[in-house]
Amino acid sequence: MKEKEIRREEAETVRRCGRAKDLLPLMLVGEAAPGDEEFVRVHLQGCAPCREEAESLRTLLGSLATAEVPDPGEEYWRTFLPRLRNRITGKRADGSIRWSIPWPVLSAGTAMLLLAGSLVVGWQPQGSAPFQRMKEIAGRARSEEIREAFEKVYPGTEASLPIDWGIRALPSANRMQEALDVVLPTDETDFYATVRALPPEAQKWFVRVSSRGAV
Amino acid sequence: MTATPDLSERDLDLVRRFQAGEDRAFDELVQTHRREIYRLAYRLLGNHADADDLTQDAFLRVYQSLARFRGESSFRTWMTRIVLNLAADRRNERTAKRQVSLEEVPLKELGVETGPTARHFPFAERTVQRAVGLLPPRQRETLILRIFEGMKFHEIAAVMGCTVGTAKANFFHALKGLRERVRV
Repeated sequence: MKEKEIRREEAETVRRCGRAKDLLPLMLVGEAAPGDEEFVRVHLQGCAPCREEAESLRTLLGSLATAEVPDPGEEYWRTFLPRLRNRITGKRADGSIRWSIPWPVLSAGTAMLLLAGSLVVGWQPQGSAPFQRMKEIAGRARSEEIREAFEKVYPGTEASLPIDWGIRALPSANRMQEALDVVLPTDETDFYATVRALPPEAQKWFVRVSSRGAV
Repeated sequence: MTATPDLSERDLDLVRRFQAGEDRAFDELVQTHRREIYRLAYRLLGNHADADDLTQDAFLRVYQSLARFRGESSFRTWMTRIVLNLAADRRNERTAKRQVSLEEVPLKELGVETGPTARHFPFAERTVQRAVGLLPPRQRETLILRIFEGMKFHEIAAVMGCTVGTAKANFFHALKGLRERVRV
């Protein structure tokens, strides 16, 4: 009977230690619930291993908190905004003009590709779901949103692509899905599935066209 | 990145002025937040060159998107999300190019750090700093936002698009991972 009680007590201690260890990180950053914090405090008073654990975590958090990021210096901060402004206006640091894709053209290119895709899908009976979806997307995409979408799926595209990459940099199906999430966040079109639903010839065409855009 | 209500309102005022066509309001936003964004970028990427690129890219993205900022979250939350997304893009690019990333290098092979960092971090802290760099991305980001940016878990959840429970779990595992690496 006594042995049973001892076992039960040991199991309870293990459970309490486990709970205390789970709550310690939250308590040390001040985000434990008041009741949980009280539980840990009481437990620590009677449990040396958990006190050690708490001390060790406190040391770790302390060393993290004191680690500073080196300041790059006043010269860096003095030139920070002018450099940023140069990027915004399309100038390089050396004063030359940066290539910038005319987004209306790119937008038109995207729409063209989508419409071309629609035509390919036209091999299927008119009015099929993929045809309608692609046509609708092409009609709804706007240049500013396309620009944002491209920046998301191809970071840096806005700055340095030669003009003839404008059309070729079109995203392939899975990247187009990412772009669509930006352009039409409420649209639930599964573009990948839409492309997969194309006839094999159309799929090959799409892959051939879009893979040229790999930057 | 310490956000007081005053700063938050000032940010919103600047955003509104920018949206009303006052381009210079953007400059004020940059001057206000550039240092904290740089520090966050440095902590995420671990060196000056990448931190500089990321900071510039983040403000460029802000400039391009500010017209559509509707103030549904604070400017700070919105900007932090941009920084994290761009950092993730960089990580993905690096993986795609198969460059050796910090995560792939065993701690003992990283050697003694040189440059400005070495002057600022005592050895033990540099070790901890490196160990932070070895954590899985989501854990590292959670830890950085909680410890260095002072964000509460509900704010972290909003920035990272996860639940408060997930943010807490990431923090818990980050600390566990750190302790295994640095044996404090």
